[in-house]
Amino acid sequence: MVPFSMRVLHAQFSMYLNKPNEALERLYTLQNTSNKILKNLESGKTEDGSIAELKPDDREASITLWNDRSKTLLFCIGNVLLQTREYEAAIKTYELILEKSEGDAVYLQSGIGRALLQLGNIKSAQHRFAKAEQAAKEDPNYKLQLIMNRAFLYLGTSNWKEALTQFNEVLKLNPQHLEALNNKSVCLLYLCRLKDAISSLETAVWMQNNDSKDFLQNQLPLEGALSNLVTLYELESSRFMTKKQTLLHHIAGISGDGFDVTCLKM
Amino acid sequence: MDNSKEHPLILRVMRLTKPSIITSSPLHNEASDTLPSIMGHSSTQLPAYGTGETLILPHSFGNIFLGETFVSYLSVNNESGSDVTSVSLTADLQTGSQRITLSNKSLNESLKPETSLDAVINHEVKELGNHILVCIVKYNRPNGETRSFRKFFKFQVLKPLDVKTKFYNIECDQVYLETQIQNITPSPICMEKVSLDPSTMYTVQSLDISTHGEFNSQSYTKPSEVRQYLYWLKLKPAHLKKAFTEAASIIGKLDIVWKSSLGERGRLQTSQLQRAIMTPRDLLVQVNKVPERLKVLEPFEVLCKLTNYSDRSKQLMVKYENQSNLLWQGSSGFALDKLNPKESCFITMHLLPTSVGIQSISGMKVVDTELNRTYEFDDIHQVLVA
Repeated sequence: MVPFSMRVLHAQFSMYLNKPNEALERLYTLQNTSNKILKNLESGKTEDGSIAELKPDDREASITLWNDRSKTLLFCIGNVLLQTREYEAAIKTYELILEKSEGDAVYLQSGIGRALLQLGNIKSAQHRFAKAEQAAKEDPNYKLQLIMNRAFLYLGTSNWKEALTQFNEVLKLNPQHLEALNNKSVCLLYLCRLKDAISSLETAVWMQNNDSKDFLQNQLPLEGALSNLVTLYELESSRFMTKKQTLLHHIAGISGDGFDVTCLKM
Repeated sequence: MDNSKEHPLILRVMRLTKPSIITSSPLHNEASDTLPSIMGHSSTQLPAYGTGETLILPHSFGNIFLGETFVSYLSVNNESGSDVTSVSLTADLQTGSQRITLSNKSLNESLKPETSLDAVINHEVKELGNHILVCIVKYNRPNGETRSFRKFFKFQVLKPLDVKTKFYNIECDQVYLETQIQNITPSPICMEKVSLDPSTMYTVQSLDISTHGEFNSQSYTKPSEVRQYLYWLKLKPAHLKKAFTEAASIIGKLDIVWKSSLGERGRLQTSQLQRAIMTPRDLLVQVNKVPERLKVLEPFEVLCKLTNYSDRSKQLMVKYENQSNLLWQGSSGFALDKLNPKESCFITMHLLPTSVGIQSISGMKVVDTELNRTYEFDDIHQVLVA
């Protein structure tokens, strides 16, 4: 009995080995199975297709579980397609998720907008961010996401000054928002303010400690922030080695074994 | 390179391409997989979407293409323990053909230790090949002596697009231009605008069927993919007289704007495109009006325009000869009034289609009675007979 998550891992490992086609094949096979199971459940049978009685509660729980798993698979497929720069196919996959669950609409539309910005299709990105705003329906929980979206649009048109304003707005709402602190320093760099850029990133990095609940959530952005900070140290002066070593000490103290220290480029 | 030991100041340079957004393949776990109380940390709310919100600064110089904007950060840092006075930084770009000054900054007060003089330079790259960024730093030693040092950074500007053009001359005053644009950069690009700026003698109509929606066929071009565009150019009526001359050969230039990662913009204009001039002809027959629906064995009328492009006035006679499945009706030959140079007259032709399908109007002969020369006009128009 192999756990579902392990099957997904098995598929995703192919990506890390640079075999995206294999990853996609495995993911689509899992998706196929998941769809069959859902079809069986919805037509009154058990998961494997046999005719047996399932209590309505059990059936409900099973359908929810498999719907969630199907959604996870679609996310994985979309991410693999994005990494191989198949933008059109990736976005069509994400659209399938949007059809299934409305709850993720703001998050997904914002994400797709960012992917389109990465591609260079600014107009379509704008379109997607507008859809995200519509889906948010004035809910204050989404306010932060919408401001981040606005900031990204400004980045797309190289309007560093306005992007900086937007990231500062995010920081007013959440002064510990790691991505906003990082992106703020990127804007400062392009506005010819190297020292301010470094100080913003140092704030971001030094406020991390392993007690914070968000540490795991922040792991990837932290790697990004560290990589940027190291790049800025190298730009600032030729004596960057001591600063990098100080960083390494700090990170070693707060991170677990899984942290990738190659981002420090030592 | 000469620095720290000899000079108190250090020059650091970094190219500022647009940052990229961090991407990942997030791993998935379910609540039933983890034992939070025993195993320590686990997260059930990991983000599932691959493109995050963290910007990553460029790690290397990368590629630079013709039409893009070269942006770079320059920083002069004081790494000595004491103040340095009269610091100035000049940045020039040396290309194959010219030297442009991109930045010239100086400080009035002295530069304190561990502080720097920074500049960001911007330049739209308009030439291919080798470019050299020359940075000159000048300062004064405590004894008043002016010292300087320079640093050179060489980079190659590559060609981003391969543009091929093909002309289809259909009449002396109309031409179709087909252009194929190939993306020869290593990343996908979005063609934001591809347009033909016509020369003063022509009007242009783009024949692209653009579909609405996010991913229409024009949206993005992967590396080595080719996009094709079609334009219909017509000589303006005022310039019709110059149809066979040199002046009509220049039709305009292509203006291409594209965007790549995070909106990095590039722009290229081709040189003036030229079509082949058609061999000059004395007379030209053009069809002006043809009825749309034609039925077999039902006669129809065609209005056509006969233009005299030569320099002498002509006394002409029109003769018809049945050559195809469209039969001429009416008189088979008649004389026209005297036709002056660069002028035209209108002739109404009567035809009878005898079979179904695409038929060609052929068999019109125009005779110059003075020179005794016959001009034959075949296939002047095709019609569909139902």
